[in-house]
Amino acid sequence: MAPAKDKAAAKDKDKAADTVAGVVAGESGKVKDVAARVGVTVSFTKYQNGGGNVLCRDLMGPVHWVYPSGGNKMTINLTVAVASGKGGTGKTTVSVNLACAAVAAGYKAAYLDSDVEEPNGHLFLKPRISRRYPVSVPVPVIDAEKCIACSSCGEICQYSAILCINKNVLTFEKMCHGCGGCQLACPVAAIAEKGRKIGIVEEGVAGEISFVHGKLNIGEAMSTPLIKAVRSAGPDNSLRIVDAPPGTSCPVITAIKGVDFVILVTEPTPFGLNDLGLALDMIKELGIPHAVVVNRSNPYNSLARDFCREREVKLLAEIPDDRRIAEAYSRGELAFSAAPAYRGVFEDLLISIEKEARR
Amino acid sequence: MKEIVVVSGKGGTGKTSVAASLVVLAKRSVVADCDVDAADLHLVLEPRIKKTEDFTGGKSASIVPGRCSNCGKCYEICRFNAVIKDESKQPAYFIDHIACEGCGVCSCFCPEKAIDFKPSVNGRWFISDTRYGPMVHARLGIAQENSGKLVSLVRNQARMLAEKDNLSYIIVDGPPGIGCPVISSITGADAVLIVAEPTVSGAHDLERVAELAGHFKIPAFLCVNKYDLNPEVAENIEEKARAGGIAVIGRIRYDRTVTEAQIKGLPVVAFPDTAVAEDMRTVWENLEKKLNLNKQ
Ligand code: SF4
Ligand code: SF4
Ligand code: SF4
Ligand code: SF4
Repeated sequence: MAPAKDKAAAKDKDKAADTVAGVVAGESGKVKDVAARVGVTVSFTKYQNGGGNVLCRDLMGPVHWVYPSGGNKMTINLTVAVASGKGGTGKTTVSVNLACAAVAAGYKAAYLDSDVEEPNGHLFLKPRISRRYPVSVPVPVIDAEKCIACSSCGEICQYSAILCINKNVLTFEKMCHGCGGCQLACPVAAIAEKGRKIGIVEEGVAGEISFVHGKLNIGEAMSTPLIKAVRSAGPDNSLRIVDAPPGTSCPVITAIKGVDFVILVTEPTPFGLNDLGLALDMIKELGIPHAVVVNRSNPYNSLARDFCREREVKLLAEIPDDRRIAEAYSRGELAFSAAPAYRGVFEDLLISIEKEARR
Repeated sequence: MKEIVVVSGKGGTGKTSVAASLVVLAKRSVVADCDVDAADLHLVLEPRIKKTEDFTGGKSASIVPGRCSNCGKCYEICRFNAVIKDESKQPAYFIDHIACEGCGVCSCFCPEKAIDFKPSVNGRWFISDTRYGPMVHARLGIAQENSGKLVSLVRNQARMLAEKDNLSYIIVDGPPGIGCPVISSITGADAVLIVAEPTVSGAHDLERVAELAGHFKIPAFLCVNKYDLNPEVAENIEEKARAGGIAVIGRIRYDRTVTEAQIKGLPVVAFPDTAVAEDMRTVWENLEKKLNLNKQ
């Protein structure tokens, strides 16, 4: 390469570095100093749209994380859920890498982890949390002075969460669904409500990705109100990616209800496809546009492709069964950065989703 | 009789493959598939169904059009946004069955008594025979609630079968996560076997399931599946487990036989000469030893 070109490239890189550094450190130019102090090195790559990638490495070790950074933000307003009947098929891998691809392509993107029982996205995106708040469900509180022991509250409750025995009213808060029935039924207004905490929501940023997740308290059975709280957080007018819990019952339904598009992630095994079938039944019931992504795919295994043809569902992408992706995952690294060869898979997926969702 | 629940925190760690192998190794056992909204165990145990029953877990509401006076009371008091308003229709209110929590409040306060509130069928459950003993399994209906109740029902049926036939073990394939169905699967069990995978997510999830088992005071055991994908993380997980009072009872290597067995519809230990089958046997032997120690 000619020296003049070299120089120009270096200048370009510096310019990109500046833009991106401004985002990361909040103060342009200082990010490298900061990085050196905390023991990582930083490098930058630039995209055509003016955006770039910040690549942080441990001084000695492997790539630590990548924060893509878009240039001029394009507007988008789309909520996409990533779900799967079976757990562990790669929902989180698809969600977080898709968020990276979106930001790199110049979109405003948000990642919402609604798998509140086992949230994992933060392990890959390593967000800076800036806001933290508890989520509660209403439970009844009895004013014993006013109570006339009429039993009406116990009779209306469908969940055995309130009982009137021996002129005393007992409540079992963990069974209460917060329907408010007892309060409406009490003839003497002896029932008030208080909040019972079931978990917390944390919001923050991971590079340019807005980050939200919920964490259910251990031993807590009531997860849907927390999932609703996660769904309603995060910025509008962006590509909102909802990482849904596994399964086909209430938690998933709460997470995906009302989204514009659902991606079902599966793997080409009998278990994976059996559960994909169940998830398809569920989605048809909800009537949401959807398509399938096959993870750990290999060219010689056509189980998933055949299945999709049979069930007449669109197969949007196949993520190859590559040890590099599995290893990146095992270390908590983004495939988007640790296996750059696969960046294109997620970029193409993003484009397909956009097309499908706008149909 | 001992009830062992195989759980994983995160799904997809190989929980069902381990459970299926334990069923074979435990010999005199009954197996219960409690992953009721994504059951897979039947794919490798080939159950022949002997008995099918409906599962009625809760009630659901529906508006009887002829009786409704369009007062809007139900719309106002339903806290789950399950009453939908659509002025272009007559009556303007109807119930979204997927959103309905079955609390019955609308029905109770409708001035016209226009809302039916009836038990609804939420799924089905089965008693079957397999080559390895009886099996209880279930299927939650599409988009249905009450998975916790169905799990309890499956476990109770399995217990009854075990008592009747005087079997020594109940092997339960538990659901993923730490929420309602998992709590229903493990409360009162004799042991929880956590199947973890050697990833940072796996490590994170292990902490949460382990805490859950501790919360309900159930003895917990750990085996790391596919440990050779990342031996370092595997060790890390085992250390964490030991520190939390969880006994480590074996490691299972990554082996394509697991997927091949799945494709053939068989448990892994049906291929007894493979290394992974040997790993499964070690896990079972250690588990059995520990359980019988606890008894004394
Ligand atoms: S709010 Fe509803 S669920 Fe809770 S105690 Fe009252 S009637 Fe029962
Ligand atoms: S309905 Fe009100 S008055 Fe009657 S038992 Fe319940 S709290 Fe007491
Ligand atoms: S409360 Fe009864 S009468 Fe009033 S809108 Fe609802 S169903 Fe109709
Ligand atoms: S039963 Fe409860 S949740 Fe269902 S529609 Fe009526 S008030 Fe709403």
